[in-house]
Amino acid sequence: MDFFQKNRNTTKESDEELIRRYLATKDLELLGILYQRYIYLVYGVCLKYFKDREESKDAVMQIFEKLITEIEKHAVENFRPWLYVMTKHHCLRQLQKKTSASKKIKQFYDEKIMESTIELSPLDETPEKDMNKALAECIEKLKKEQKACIVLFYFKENCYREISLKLELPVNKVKSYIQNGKRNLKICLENKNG
Amino acid sequence: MAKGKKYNYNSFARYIRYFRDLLTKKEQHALEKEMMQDVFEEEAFEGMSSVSADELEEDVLELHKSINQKTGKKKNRIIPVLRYAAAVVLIFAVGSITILIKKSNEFKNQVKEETAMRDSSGGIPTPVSKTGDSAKVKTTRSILKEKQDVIVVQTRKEQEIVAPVSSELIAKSDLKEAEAPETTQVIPVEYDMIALKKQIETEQQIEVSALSYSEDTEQNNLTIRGQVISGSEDLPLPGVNVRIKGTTKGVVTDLDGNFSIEIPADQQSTLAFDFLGYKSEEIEISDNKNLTVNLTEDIIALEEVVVVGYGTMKKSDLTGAVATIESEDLESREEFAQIVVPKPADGMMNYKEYIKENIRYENIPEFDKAQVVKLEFEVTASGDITHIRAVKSAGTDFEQEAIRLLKDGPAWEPGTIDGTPSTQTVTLRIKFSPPE
Repeated sequence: MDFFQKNRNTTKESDEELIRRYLATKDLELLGILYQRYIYLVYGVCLKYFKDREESKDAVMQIFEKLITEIEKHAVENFRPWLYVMTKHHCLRQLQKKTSASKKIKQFYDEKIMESTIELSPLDETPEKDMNKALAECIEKLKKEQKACIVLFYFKENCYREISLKLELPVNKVKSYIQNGKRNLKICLENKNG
Repeated sequence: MAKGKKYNYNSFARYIRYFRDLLTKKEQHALEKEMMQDVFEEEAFEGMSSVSADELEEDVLELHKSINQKTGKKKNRIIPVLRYAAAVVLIFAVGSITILIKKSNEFKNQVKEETAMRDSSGGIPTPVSKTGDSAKVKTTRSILKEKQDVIVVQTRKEQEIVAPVSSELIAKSDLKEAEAPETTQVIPVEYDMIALKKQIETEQQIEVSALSYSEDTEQNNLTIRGQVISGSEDLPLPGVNVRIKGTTKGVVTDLDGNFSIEIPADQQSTLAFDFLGYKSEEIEISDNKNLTVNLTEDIIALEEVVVVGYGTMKKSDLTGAVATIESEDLESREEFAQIVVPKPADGMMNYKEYIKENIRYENIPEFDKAQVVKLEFEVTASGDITHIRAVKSAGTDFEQEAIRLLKDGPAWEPGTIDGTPSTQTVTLRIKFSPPE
């Protein structure tokens, strides 16, 4: 049971410590342990882009190969976001390479770009119950479904499934209403401030 | 992870429990909210939602194996590491259920029961929750679903009772489990294989319904029928373009102005009606499946039409130079070239007077009736008179006398075309009246 000892030590180590140790020893196992901490996220992102399980699994392995070479070149200080960017770039580049890439990319931009929220919305930053006046006004201005979903999610703290039942909407619609609503709120608040 | 900064990331185990619908509403909400605050998790969540929980679990396990195979150096190490990873992942993945049982003895019986149940596969399960007064053992149990031949039972004792199954592996998993914040401590959940299956099935149904919804959006179309008529005459308009706004889908009305078009049922559509010479009309489709559309006539402004060498096009569509002729210009241009004929330098009246006074009657025979000679000649650009010939003659003498009069007479002004002097042919009629 020697290996448990080893793993127990490695689980306590931070990402950055693992990287440092890997760079010093070149023990691939250490990098593997690090990668496995986020492997499900990498796989999830790949699934989002490729919409295919086998392809996504291949991509996860390719990204690991890439990680081996890239980690040498960069002084990675914050591994998790760095891995995310690398994963996303890999996926997008693969999509571009493929012959049907243009189609899929177009589809991706049509469907998904609206949903991605890179920055935190005001709601995530200030989740307190007493919303200020501007926010309340902006929420009033939202479309019916977006407003309902936002209010239920952020102020009544309902989960997707509850909202889905209450409003009789599919779960994925609920998610996109919340995200689009958040985006609209952000725009609305920015306009008020600016 | 990084010092001084506290991360609150969701673990894979938590996601699997989420996708299997094993979390309370509150826990679900917490996960969703946290997930949306991190791009990595947000995108991954989207991807993970696209497959079933079983598939997700299977795939991630496979990936863990592959990475371990790739990175493991010594053979004897690969297997335990692999096993460890698999166990940890699966334990997390399947989800944990806490039950209350009386004693560790009962717990052992429980395991037997469970195994028996599983063997008979399909027997109606009995709820395994039993409450007793003696020491309570809180058991977190996970079943390795993948191979169906291993049951890992983990126990976590609350106070003093020693766990019946104990290995580092389980202890380890247990430890991990304890880190997870959402382990329910108060509410015991009754659990059995069938219930788990049901839960999975309901989840799959949800997924299926979500899927069929998206298909519906593509296939469920609404048929809109209607007639297009001319607003001013109340007559049906054939050949009107009927188009779904924002798409390239469209139809054309038939001879009676009727049309029928399929629109997606789930979204608000607008129909656009276009017909040359009529104003375009847009109609938002609400519930009316039968439409009557009135198109009003539109007079195209003439100034905006540009004539080009190969047809007409709108000014806004035309590339290249445009020369504009205003309509007033066109009206004034009845004569295209301005031609001025040659005339005697001091006017025709004076010329006639000259002829009258200078006829030499001695050169012509005697006559009692007026005689006419018609001469045709050219007046050059410089005013010279050439190419004289008689078109009509009253005899050679008269003819000669007429030519002499012309040649000796006053100068002629050359004619012009658009102001430029040019050689022109003139016909002159000379009348000989008998001397008084």
